[in-house]
Amino acid sequence: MTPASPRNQLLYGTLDLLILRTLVYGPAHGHAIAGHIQRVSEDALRIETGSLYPALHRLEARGWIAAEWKTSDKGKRARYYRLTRTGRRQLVVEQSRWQQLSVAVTRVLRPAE
Amino acid sequence: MLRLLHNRLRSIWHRPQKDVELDEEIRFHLAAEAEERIETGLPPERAHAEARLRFGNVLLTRELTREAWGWAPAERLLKDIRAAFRMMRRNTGYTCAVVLTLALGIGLNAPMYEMLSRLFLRPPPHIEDPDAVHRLWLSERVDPGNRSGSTGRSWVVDAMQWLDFQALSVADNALIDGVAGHRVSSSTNGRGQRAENLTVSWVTGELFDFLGVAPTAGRSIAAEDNDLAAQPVAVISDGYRRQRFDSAEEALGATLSFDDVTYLVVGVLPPGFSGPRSNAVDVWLPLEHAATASRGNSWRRYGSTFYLTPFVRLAPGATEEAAGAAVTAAVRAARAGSRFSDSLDQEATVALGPILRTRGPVTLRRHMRLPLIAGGITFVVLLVAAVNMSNLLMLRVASRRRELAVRYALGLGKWGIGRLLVTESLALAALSGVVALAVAAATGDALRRTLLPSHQWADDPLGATAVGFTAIAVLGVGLAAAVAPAVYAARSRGIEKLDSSRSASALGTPVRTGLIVVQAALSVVLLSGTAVFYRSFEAARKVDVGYAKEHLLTVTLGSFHGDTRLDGLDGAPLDESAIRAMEARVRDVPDVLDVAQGTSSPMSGSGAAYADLRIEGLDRLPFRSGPHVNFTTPNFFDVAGLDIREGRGFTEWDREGTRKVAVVDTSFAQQAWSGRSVVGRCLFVGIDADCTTVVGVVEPAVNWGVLEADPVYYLPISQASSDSALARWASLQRSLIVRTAGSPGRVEAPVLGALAELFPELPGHHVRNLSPQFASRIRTWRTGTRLFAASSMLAVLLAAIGLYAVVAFGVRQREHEFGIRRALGAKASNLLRMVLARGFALAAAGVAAGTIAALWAGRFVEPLLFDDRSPRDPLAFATAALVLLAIAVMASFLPARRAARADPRQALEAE
Repeated sequence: MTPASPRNQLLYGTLDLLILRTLVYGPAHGHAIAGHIQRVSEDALRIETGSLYPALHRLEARGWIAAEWKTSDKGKRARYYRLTRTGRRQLVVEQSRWQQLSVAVTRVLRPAE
Repeated sequence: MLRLLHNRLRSIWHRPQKDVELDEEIRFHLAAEAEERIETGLPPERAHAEARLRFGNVLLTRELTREAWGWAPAERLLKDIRAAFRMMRRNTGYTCAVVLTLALGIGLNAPMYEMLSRLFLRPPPHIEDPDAVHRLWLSERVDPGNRSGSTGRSWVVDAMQWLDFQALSVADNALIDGVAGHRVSSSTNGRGQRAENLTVSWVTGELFDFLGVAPTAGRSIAAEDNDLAAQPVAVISDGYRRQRFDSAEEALGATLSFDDVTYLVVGVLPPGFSGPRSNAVDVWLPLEHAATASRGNSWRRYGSTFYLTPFVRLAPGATEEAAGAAVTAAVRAARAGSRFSDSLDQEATVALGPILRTRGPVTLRRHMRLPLIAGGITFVVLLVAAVNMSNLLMLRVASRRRELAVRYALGLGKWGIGRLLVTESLALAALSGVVALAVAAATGDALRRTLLPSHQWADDPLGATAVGFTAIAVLGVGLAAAVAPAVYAARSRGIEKLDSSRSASALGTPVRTGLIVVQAALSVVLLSGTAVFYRSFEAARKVDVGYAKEHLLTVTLGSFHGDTRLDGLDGAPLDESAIRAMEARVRDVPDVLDVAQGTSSPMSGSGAAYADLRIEGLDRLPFRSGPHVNFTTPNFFDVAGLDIREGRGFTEWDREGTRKVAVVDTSFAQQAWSGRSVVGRCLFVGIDADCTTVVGVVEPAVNWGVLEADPVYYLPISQASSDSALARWASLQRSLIVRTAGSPGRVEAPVLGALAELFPELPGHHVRNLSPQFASRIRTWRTGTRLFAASSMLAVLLAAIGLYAVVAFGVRQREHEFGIRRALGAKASNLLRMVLARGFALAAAGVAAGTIAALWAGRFVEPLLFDDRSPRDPLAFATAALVLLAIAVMASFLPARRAARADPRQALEAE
């Protein structure tokens, strides 16, 4: 039925966290967000558009980010996303959840200590 | 939270705008991606191509993003519904065919089920806690000693005599909360030309309290009104109030007159109220006044013909069985203590039943069965319509293979296709439902008035049941009709079939064939029903009732209700000279051929009386029922159109002082003397010790029903002047029997005018035109025939549409093949025959299945047929089969011609 969705390639929920984190630096459009994540992760994380836009729209529907049409620095109309107040709060929650997870995974990987 | 909701609502309502925005967003992304590459020095075309490649599947991204908007199932539904309506708009002809047929199917059924629920499920309106109110059913043996002449029979009736009824009130109070009774009859209000016939209910004083009904104006009849010393009062129905008076205020204080008693109208009852029964009532009167005025005092005794329909209200916690036992005991005690105890069944039992008469213990009468059968018939029509719709949907699927395959390829999936088809089917059904409600609103009233004319139909024919039924039918048919197409579409894996259009004609063929055969079979069931009913109706119509019913008008004078016991009748004898004057005046009316007199009028039960009778040489009367006696003038047989079969009729010489004579009818002669010579035999009538000589035999005549010709003997009026009880009875009632040259209907008003001129205050008389009266007696069969005919016409039309569609589709799919056949030398006539044969074969299979089903279903209509005719009438079945086969050939003719004209050149070029 529904073809396997590419967003499954990232750990579920991680993409949301990455997007929220990226938007801390200010409003950005989808292409810029993907580019930023790719750059900062030094090409380790490549965000598929098939995951990016559904995620953006999902976050928007949840009210964590808001979108508006603005003119980009290249003079074209682009849809800019920014963090909302609930989005900021959610970022804190997601970040601490991620840290807990990462600590836990690390413990499992190095049980001898 | 609110914003969330707002976002989601926005995503639903601003759907098109959001789509545009998403497209723009994606376009921007692609442009930005390409720009990055151009900046690194790639040529623009390469850059754009790479950007596109990098982006991946645009359509998929869009779909997935849309799903993120939330409420995806609702979105999908909206999308499917929009697609369904687009499909409907594009295929107007197809949509109209489906919607109209289904709408007629549902529209016929909705008011029908409303009516059935009113008849069999819902208690009459305006009754407080109707479930506690019970109708009492008395079962007793009709005693051999009873002079009514019936022997050893027993009956179950929802009626009892006054003394039995009175006994109810002494029954256990812990079980029974209240007792009330009523008796409904037709009575004449007023005199002369202002006289009107009304349905009148005589009630015990407690009835209205017992039912808990509140009048809309004035008050109802109370216990103290049911007292001969009190002012006679009446309450009227809302319907009668509207018919007679401008306002309720005008009605209150008006007077009505029945049997020369004047009643003051004191109340108007709510609309739709008809007492504890379902048939309409115009006026309610206190029993004491009404019964006494009509019958003297005899109605209170055992052995009178006065019967009352009793009701009890169960006390909380009491069971029907316990109350029934208590009531039975009370009735038996009353009977044992009566001086008539010998002639009363001491073992009689009384049982409690629901308030609805239709759910009582006796088998349903013919006129009650009709609505049930009608419900069955219309349901079959609905089935045909549903099957038809399913079949048309199948065809649509087959001809939309390409579209469905593309949708499948675009990721709609098997379930998606199924969902789409179900939505389409439901949308079609819903549209049909709306049209059906309009159909029901237009036809419902006529339908129920045809089936049950005397029922109290106050509420709208489109009640909750009708609307509920429509909703259920829409859902049911919508889903059921989609099953076959959806399964078929899901199975035929769109993609594989995408390019195999040529072999596609075989797709789903078994299902389509099956559906068309089912449709044809159901049509055959209805067609044979129509034929069987029509034959039964024809037989009923042609019944020889004896009387020249097409040319007779009768005027019953006075409103004296004959009591079979000839004692205790009070009232003044009719004025014979006045009657002779009336007879003479009516004879002068243009178009009147002759006028005769009789104590009972042809084809009416009233006035036909039993009398003490002995037959020379027989110990007891040999009749199953009757005999009735009729005192007539000499010209009666001529005027009524009864042939003398043997001997002679009466003459002017048969009068007081000459030898007493009688004429009997053939059924009397047959039952009394079983065919041996009749003329010259002796009858002993009443207390007469003298022999009354039988001088003639006359043909039998139907007085009750349509077939029952009870034995009758006739005596001359002129010899009835002795002071016997029988003669006294004869002097109390008279009918004028008027033979007309043309239609009796045209003479009715002049005859009444002539009578009114002579006697402006003529007491309640009753004019009847025998022809329409007979027509109303055979109404059941006529209605049944019409109903069947309308249903089967609809069903056959549906089957024809279905058959045409299937055959035409088959031909279109095989056009190529037909062309090749032509090219290979097949004659056009061969192809024509081939296609016709296919239509014929489908219909023939339907006929076979339908005939078997109709043979089986015959048992349900059997009790409804005239004179116990068999529902398995070979001629009827053959007719039905022929009609359907003819329709099938006609329906396949157009497609067959198209096949015959297939162009061989085109076919070859395509190869």
